[in-house]
Amino acid sequence: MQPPVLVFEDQEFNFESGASVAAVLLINGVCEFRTTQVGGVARGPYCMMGACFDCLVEIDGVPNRQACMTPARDGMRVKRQDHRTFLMDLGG
Amino acid sequence: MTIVESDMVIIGGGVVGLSIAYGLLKKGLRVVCIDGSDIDLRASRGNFGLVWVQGKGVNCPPYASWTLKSAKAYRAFVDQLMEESGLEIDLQQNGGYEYFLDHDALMERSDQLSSLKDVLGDYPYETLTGDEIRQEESMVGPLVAGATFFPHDGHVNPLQLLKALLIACQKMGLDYRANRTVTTADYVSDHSRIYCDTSECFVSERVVLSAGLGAKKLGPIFGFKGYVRPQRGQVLVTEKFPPLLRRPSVTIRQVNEGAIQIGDSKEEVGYDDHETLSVVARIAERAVKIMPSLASARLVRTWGALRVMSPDGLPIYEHSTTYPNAVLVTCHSGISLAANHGSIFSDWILGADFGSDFKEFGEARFATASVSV
Amino acid sequence: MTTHIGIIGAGPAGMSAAIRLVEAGCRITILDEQPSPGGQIYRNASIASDPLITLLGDDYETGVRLSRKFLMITEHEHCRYIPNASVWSVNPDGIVNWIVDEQVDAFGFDGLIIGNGALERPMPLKGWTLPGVMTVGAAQILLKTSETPLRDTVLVGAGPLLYLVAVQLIRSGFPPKAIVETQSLTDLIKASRHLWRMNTKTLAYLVKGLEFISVIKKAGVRRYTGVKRIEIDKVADHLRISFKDGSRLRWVESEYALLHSGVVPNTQMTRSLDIDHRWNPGNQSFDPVTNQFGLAKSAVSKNIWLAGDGAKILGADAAIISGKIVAEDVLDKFSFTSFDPARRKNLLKQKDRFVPVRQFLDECYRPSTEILDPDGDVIVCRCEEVKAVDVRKAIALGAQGPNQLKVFTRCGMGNCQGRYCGLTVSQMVASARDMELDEVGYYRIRTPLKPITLKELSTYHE
Repeated sequence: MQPPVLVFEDQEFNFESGASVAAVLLINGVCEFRTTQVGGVARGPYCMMGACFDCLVEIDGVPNRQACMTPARDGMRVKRQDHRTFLMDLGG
Repeated sequence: MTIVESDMVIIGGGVVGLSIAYGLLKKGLRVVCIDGSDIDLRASRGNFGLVWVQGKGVNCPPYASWTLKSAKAYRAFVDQLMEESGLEIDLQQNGGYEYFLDHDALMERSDQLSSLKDVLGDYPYETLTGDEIRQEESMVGPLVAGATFFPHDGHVNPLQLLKALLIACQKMGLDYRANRTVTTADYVSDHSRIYCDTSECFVSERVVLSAGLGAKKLGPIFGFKGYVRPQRGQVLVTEKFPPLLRRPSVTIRQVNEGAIQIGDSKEEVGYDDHETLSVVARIAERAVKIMPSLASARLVRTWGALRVMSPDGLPIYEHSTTYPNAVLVTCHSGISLAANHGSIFSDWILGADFGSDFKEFGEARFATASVSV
Repeated sequence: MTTHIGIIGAGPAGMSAAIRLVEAGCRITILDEQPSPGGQIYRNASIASDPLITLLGDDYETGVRLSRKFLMITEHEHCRYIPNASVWSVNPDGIVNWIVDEQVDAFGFDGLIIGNGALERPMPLKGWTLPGVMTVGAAQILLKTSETPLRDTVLVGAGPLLYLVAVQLIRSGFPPKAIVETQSLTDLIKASRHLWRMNTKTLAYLVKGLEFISVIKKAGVRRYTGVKRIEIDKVADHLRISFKDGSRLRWVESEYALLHSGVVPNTQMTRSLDIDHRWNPGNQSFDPVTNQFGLAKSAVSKNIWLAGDGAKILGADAAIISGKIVAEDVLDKFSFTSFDPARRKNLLKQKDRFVPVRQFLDECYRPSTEILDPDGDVIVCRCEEVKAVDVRKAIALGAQGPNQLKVFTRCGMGNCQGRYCGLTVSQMVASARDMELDEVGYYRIRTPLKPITLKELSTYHE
């Protein structure tokens, strides 16, 4: 039985069942989870308890998922969330 | 007792009061604005930010025309305000839609707009079929029967607008005093004297009462009927998205920061601005019918706010017949009318005659029978 | 129709209330956000390994026993326990709305006990939003849920939790590089006046604190106290934490900076219910108002009780007792024959014994004024990236309070809906306008308390 694997960007991380996505990333040395909309700066988890919303990542194509509140599952595909692409360009 | 002297006292520092202050300050008047507290009901904080012409005044062409005038002047108004305040104001004004799920309702609205066009001439609306609107807006789904379109409609960031007005006015010397409640007023020796709960007395030649729902209580002090009532609207705000909507609609728009705002409701529940699940759920349901991919959008906040409604929904512009030089200004479209309020409207406040059309907005129309407030 | 009591939160308070109510024959539904009970302080306690339990210490072991007892009573037919449940709305008329696995559901209650715990106080300092900067609680959660200690850390702030986590990291083999503390000797001296009301609780607490400090010293972990002007910068691939120690400028470098300056009640839910809140100057937080038995003061809701740190910060042991008090009061209110007034009175006395220690800690580890009233480029609202200087400008422009301020700056409008900026903003307004915090107030909090999709929302029907 293969240990479960989470795919982050182009890397594969093994993990123990029950770990949150945030925990898996942190344990594997990842602490930049996203970039912000206004300043385009990097952010990572802060509270690890679902209150700060700083640990947002894209999970299996769905954006704005709280990594610390989502249990890691085998085969999950996680990507950094880049908010710069979300800035609206208001034209005339 | 502190005496505060000026040419003009404006009671109410929301977007209506500050737009009016802006226009009057430009004419060189010394203006004082008395405003309420942090937790007072403020329609200026709870609105949809629409600069909107279509659908207004279907039974009152002068109102449609007055609104269109403001919409046409809006870009220049905002540009000047940005320059004077040094603040960015996001304004998008390249047309707006009203979506219809029901073909008959679409036709009914189309007829109403057509009648307005007959009367006004300059009223460039369009009616789009379901397929046509889906071509324009990729988010619109198959259940939408069609839409009406008006090229001068758009939306503005109402919070930036409010802040910019305050900054620009203060730069022009506005004396802005918040956390006050007006208690009483009288007119003595050619001057108005307004008293507050802070033992200040505001002495001026003229007064504008633009205190939204406060007109009900304060109106009679100045000889007004003050027939306003609260009408609740609830709004949903989603998480931020990349640009998905090209143009705003009456009930769904994407704000400059990326969130999608969805309204609305029209509830007669008194002064209760709470959000309620039953209404919010139905708003969500309707939004998903119009734009199916919104189903997966996450809601971050909902809120309720109280519109300032007159019995017929039209603005109330009235010169007091008993208290000299006092004017009542109230409307539920303070955003759309800001360009007018901040410019030509000053003339009317100072006594200019805007003709019989404008008299439609006076309180005399409430003289007859059943006025429900 | 039997009385139905809802409980939100399966932390120490919620669990102990549940146990008492089920034993007394009451029908309950208890919801919790996490997959297993314990709240944050006893996170994962029901499934922690023995070595981890030993590492975490005796207090955690209390949580292990409590969690196991709780799980046993959830087998009872009168008890419905729903983990992984996110409560997005509580209707004061008596309905709790929640989501599990994208399915919305609701229950009606006759009485509701909210035990939703605390949050760490926001600590706006330069660089607090950098990746690698987390709360001390976050590091503990990683340890409790994944048995993984962070290996290269500096602890920053004030409060006994710093010492507990330092000891836990030491036991795990990865002592922190340093502990950078803002409280000074003067604070300690001033606070010691509370100690004359010494009771066994206070004594036990102090003895434990001194033991921890001794362990920290023996492990060679450097402590800096009375520091000011803490700043965190990114340097190459790690963090530099610099600070003023007396007149000297010092710094320490590490991969992670763990912040802590006390905890405050999580008031999102209580605020959304229009429950009264009052400023607690000792803890520097807004606490919901309740009577002595935990019944919340609200013009609308007459049957909501608040227990544990979510009502008032007194620690986990007090939270357990608080849960029991609230349960007893519920039994009284709904005329259960097993209600025991003497027991309730006795529990209240027990809970009161935690107060002197709390007063001592409040004063000894008072949050630094720099984090209560930040300035310059320090970020106040993390979600909308609003700086302190812009908040001050908005106050100067005429914002009367937090809600006007929100309009002018967007503070509080982001995803966390004010959880990590609300207190800072209220305090900045109070400071700038020389007002009392109760006068200033707080953001208007609305539903949803947690995000919910439009599709989920549209399935709601009355």
